Amino acid sequence: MSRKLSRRRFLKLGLGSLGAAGLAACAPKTVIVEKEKVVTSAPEVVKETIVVEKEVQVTKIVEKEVEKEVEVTKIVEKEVEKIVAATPVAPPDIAPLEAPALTPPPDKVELVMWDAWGREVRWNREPIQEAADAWNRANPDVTVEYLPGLTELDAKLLTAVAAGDPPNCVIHGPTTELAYRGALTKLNDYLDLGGHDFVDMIPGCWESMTVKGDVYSIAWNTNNGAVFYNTDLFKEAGLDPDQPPTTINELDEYADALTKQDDAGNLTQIGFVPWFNIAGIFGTWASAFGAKLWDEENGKVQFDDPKSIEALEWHVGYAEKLGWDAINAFNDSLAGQDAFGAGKLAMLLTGPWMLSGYRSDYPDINWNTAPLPAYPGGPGRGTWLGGRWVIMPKGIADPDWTWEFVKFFGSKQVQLLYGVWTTNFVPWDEENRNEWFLADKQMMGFLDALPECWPIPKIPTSNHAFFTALRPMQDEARQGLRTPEEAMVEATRIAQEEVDRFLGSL
Amino acid sequence: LAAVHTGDALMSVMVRKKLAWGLFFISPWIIGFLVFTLYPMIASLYYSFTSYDVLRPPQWVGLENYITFFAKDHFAVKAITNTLYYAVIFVPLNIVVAVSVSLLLNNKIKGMAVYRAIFYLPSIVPAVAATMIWVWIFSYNNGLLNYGLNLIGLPKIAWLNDPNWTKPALIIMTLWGFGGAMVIYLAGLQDIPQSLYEAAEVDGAGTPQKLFKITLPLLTPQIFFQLVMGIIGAFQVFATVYILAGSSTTGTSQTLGGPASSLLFYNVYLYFNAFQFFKMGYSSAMAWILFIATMIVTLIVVRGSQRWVFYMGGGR
Repeated sequence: MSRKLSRRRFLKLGLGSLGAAGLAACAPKTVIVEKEKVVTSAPEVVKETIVVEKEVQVTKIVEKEVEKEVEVTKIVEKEVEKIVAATPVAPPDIAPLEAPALTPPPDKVELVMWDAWGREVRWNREPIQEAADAWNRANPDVTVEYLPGLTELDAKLLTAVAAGDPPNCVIHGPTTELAYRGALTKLNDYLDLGGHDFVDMIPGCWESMTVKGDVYSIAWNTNNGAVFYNTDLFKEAGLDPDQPPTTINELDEYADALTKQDDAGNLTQIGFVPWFNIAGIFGTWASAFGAKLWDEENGKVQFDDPKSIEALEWHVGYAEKLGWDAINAFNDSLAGQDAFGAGKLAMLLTGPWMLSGYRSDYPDINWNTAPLPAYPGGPGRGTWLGGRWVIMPKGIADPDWTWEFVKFFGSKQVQLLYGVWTTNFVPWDEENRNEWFLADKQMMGFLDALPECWPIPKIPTSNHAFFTALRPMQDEARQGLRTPEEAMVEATRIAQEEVDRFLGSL
Repeated sequence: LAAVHTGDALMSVMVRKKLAWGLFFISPWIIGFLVFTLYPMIASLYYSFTSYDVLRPPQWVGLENYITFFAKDHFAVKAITNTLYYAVIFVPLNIVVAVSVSLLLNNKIKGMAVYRAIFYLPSIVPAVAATMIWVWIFSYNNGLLNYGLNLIGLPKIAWLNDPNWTKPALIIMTLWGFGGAMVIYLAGLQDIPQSLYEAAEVDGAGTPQKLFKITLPLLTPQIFFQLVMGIIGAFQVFATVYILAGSSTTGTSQTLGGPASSLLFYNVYLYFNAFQFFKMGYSSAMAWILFIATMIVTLIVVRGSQRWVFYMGGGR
């Protein structure tokens, strides 16, 4: 999802580090270490410089500035933040990729793979290019050309498919709409041939690959959400940083305890806001409360599921408690800083891409992650399942060779390389329990809940449903312009009309 | 007679030869126009009567897209009202500001070229870059504009978050780029014969009389041109609103046209329909509705112009 990418890039674009000056600044610092890695796979030696994040323990005695009292106390490093201190992130010394050398075809085959993500984003491009290179080394007669940075990907892809000259495969965001529109090659028959890694996947990931029981894509790296929480702010509010909230009720209590206002009534610190960052009713909260927003079998939009209305009521509670205008003023006062990174937001539901984001851009805050607090009687701690999918458009040249490449590109070894390199998960639970991820204690909030996550509702016209129905109606409810029930009933009506029109045209 | 005929025939051969070469040299433009402008225009007219998502062949739906747009789509109503709000306020305001400033810049004082350059500069800043700067100026707590309001004792305004203030913010922002119009007015002002002013002075006319009886009437051709172009431009505004709408700080992800869709302008909604929802038929219909609406408004303005536009040399 390009939205996430731009957020991450936005963070990187020079917002700089911020001093949470009044707070304890005595945790280990995160530094960027450049390491030269020599990939010795035959035939040539490839030199790669990779950036590794490494926690360096601060061994000297540090000063702690206690708020207001300005009392300087000397404490020993090991007494602070045992969680963060115990996080030695190993460099990803992953074995070089080895692609299977297949019997070459009589004539040279040239495959093309598209990727929406930017040409300039090295952390995305380099591992993928490495996979393509590994394939090309093993199969010089079936070469793959990797083309990153295709903006407006859907428009280009649909045009290419309509013109009969689509790329062989594409790394794409959610693929439901494309599958319904008939833009994708069905993969059932290929999967039946076996000899691939696409078994025993996390159930939600498998689910995300299908439309009405047919498989149209291969889950290619995945992500979910977890609550980032600022351990310094927890301590300051008298909360135990080892005991993050586990239920929605606890979350509310913590949020109240962590919210601060100045004398003029401005919010100076917020505990939690359910819809901050990318979380909303659509991807997370309705499902977390137990609602089913889309009935695939009958083609019915169910934004007005009672549980979804209840989730929105809970949101409205936050809007009323904190004040819609006050929340906006709070955001605005950050002047582009990340609220959590600036130490002004105590808890934030977001994705694993922020793990490296906060480490590199906001090294002065201390934090950990926890799974989503559960709704009592709800389905658990799962959030959205994001990530990307590899698709084979309809009408491609050399579909069988493309599948051979997709088998390799989607394999555990390639996905793991990309995942470790970029802090993204792979669609197999066991492979996520690898030495690199397990060593990263801050990743546990994500990993533990991953098997409970589900794909976003697979509505055939999901862009339309989100932008014209659910998104504006959520906001109207939060602003008190409509009751949550009115908002969700109206959202259902708008979305259903388009779904009916669309399905009727198939 | 025979000789004349022969001459004609010779001439026509030469003319035809010249014509062929002329066509040859202009053919890149002709081909480009036919293939990339005329054909897409005609095709979009056809698509506007279909349901079309690029992948599948278009399905004829008659007037359904047009009926949906006018009767069923409440975002269409929003897009139209937002666009009209902007056009009705921005276009006249832009004329007033640009004319006023060009009058000032038409004085003969030292360093005038520098002043003119300074006022012209904003209009050559790319729209995207300018918008980024203005997003900062409009910031609630840290923005220059609210700082100024604060200095004169006025309350702060949530320019980009309050649906009532997003369009005024946009108008302020786009007014900044009046330099393009200003240059045209300046040219017009310098075209007014000095002799008219001299004659008026001899007759005892003061500055206001000269302004209202000579300068403004003789500037009406330029004002008329700017009015027509301004209306067309205001109807089609896209990049600035698209960025501004994405800069609202409600702490959530992308929206359809900013807070409460208050920045959902016609072309922004068209873009969403075409490239987010893949309703190419519907967006083609929207494009034609915009084209026809622009044409009607322009025709009305052109008709009405006969009453207030004066051309030098007696012609109206």
